[in-house]
Amino acid sequence: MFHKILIANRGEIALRIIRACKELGIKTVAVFSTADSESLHVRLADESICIGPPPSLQSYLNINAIISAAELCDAEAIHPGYGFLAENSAFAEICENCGITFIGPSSETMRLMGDKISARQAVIKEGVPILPGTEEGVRDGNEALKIARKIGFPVIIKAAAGGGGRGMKIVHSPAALPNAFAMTRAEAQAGFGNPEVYIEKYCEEPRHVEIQILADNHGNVIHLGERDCSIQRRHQKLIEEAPSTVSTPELRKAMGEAAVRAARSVGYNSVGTMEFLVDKDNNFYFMEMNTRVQVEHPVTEMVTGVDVIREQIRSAAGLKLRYKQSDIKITGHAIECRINAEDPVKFTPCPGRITAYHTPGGLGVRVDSFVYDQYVVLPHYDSLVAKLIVHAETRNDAIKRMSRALDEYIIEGIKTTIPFHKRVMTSKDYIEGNIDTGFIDRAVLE
Amino acid sequence: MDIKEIKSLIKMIMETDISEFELESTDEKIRIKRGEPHEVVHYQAAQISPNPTAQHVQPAPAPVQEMAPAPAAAPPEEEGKSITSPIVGTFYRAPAPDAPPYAEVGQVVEKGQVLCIIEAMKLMNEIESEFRGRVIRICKENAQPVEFGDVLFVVEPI
Repeated sequence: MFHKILIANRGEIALRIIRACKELGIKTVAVFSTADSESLHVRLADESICIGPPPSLQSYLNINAIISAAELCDAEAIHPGYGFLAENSAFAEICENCGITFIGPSSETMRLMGDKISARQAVIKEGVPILPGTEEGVRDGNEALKIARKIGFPVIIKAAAGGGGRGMKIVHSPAALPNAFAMTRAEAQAGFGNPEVYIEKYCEEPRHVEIQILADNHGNVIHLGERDCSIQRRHQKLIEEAPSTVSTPELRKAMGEAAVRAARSVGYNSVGTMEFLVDKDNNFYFMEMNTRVQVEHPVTEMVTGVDVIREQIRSAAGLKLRYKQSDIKITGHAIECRINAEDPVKFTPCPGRITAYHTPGGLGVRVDSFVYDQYVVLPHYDSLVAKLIVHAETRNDAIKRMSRALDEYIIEGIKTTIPFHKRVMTSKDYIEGNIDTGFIDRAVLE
Repeated sequence: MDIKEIKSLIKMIMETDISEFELESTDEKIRIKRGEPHEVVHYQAAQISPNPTAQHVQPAPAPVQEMAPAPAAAPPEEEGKSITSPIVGTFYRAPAPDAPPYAEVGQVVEKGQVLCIIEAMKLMNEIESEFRGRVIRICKENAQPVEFGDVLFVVEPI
């Protein structure tokens, strides 16, 4: 087992990793920008090293500074969390070259599954269903139009190197395609440094359902069931739950096995998530793979009882998975609300000092947060302030528990999306499970 | 003796016609000489006082210290500008173990003159002075790990 791990991240995920390390008896090193010197993850780590000024490029994305810090404090491994360098294969490779264990998949696997085009090609070989679309990048406007007609409108043009919901355009008619194609290529170049795009059929009103994968260095791969992340605004997830309301034991088995087959075929050896779209007829299609731990991993932890970060660290240390597929049981229902420092109606960011803070409690309530009373939410980084997670016997109980917990949660001094979450929890469509990725856009909230 | 005391000492001497003044104790020695274009003050303390802001000292063998909240962490009473580390690495006072240090306390350094080396990932990074000045304090020991924003030198601009 590792003696010391450096956490190359900040905020709630850094805290989450530090907690798992403490329970495993591993010493922790926090790295931070000057803006984060009062942050909770810095205070709770055993050691801390300032790596740069506030801008992410010069701090949390500063590979030189992070590797230098790891060498200075003799960390054997680096946990990248999510975002920042978590899916940066160059960083993973540098760690490998410096003899530091990167807690995640190998740089090669990350490259393969991180590129959406090569990931699609890899999973097709394992018989995983994908949406009709191109297997390679589309270079030319005329070719794009031909392909789109063949697939059938509506189609979606996506950046191969894209992610986080950016670099994609939906096209409903042939007339709009040439323009959309050129624009997406330009956006892809600007946003990700790679203009390559591909085209696939656009699934209307789909559900976003993802499968959590757990793997070790010994070829063992299992899945921990699904999460439904359909409540999204501009492709940013706001509310997640497990299990999905569309899931049946058969669908879960089919999707889980497809995900495990694909992961095993590329030699995957850490935690990861396969994202699928599920259409109105419960057909599922592979979208992309996230080769990292995700923000919403707690809902899976609540329904399976598995500590995802702990298992990820254990795998990275070379230990075999402790669970067989048959050990994994889904119990009850869990919901997570991402509480952001944003206006609850306009979603504009609202950083500032938290002047009063009180977290909810009671049976089945979990708060993953790094803020505290008088903490100043910074403008430099993302707006996630807390994750409120509940677990209960049934989905209805979970919704009631989440409403109750949201009512108890006090965060004053900044605006948060708590009022938004409260409205969703009382909305008829949400309670009845009529949710898909168009939920928020349809403004069904009262 | 802090800068306030030194200032009041200088003021006191200016009000008399003393041309040269020297005070020595076990801990420190100060000599003030008038009649030069600038009042020349030579000050030498036996011990460099530690940074008075709170530091989280780690148990040995971990050599890393927690950074103080503000990047410019020099004691407020001291004149001179802080030169802080732009990177994470190991601080070295000389280009080689047996070579003389780049800078000593009291030395005048020119703009662009190398003050020290910070080694990061096997690369030696020369840290230069941004202005002409006199080194008042060297804040790190040779081979000490430094983080971004750590004060390395206090240099009085001249």
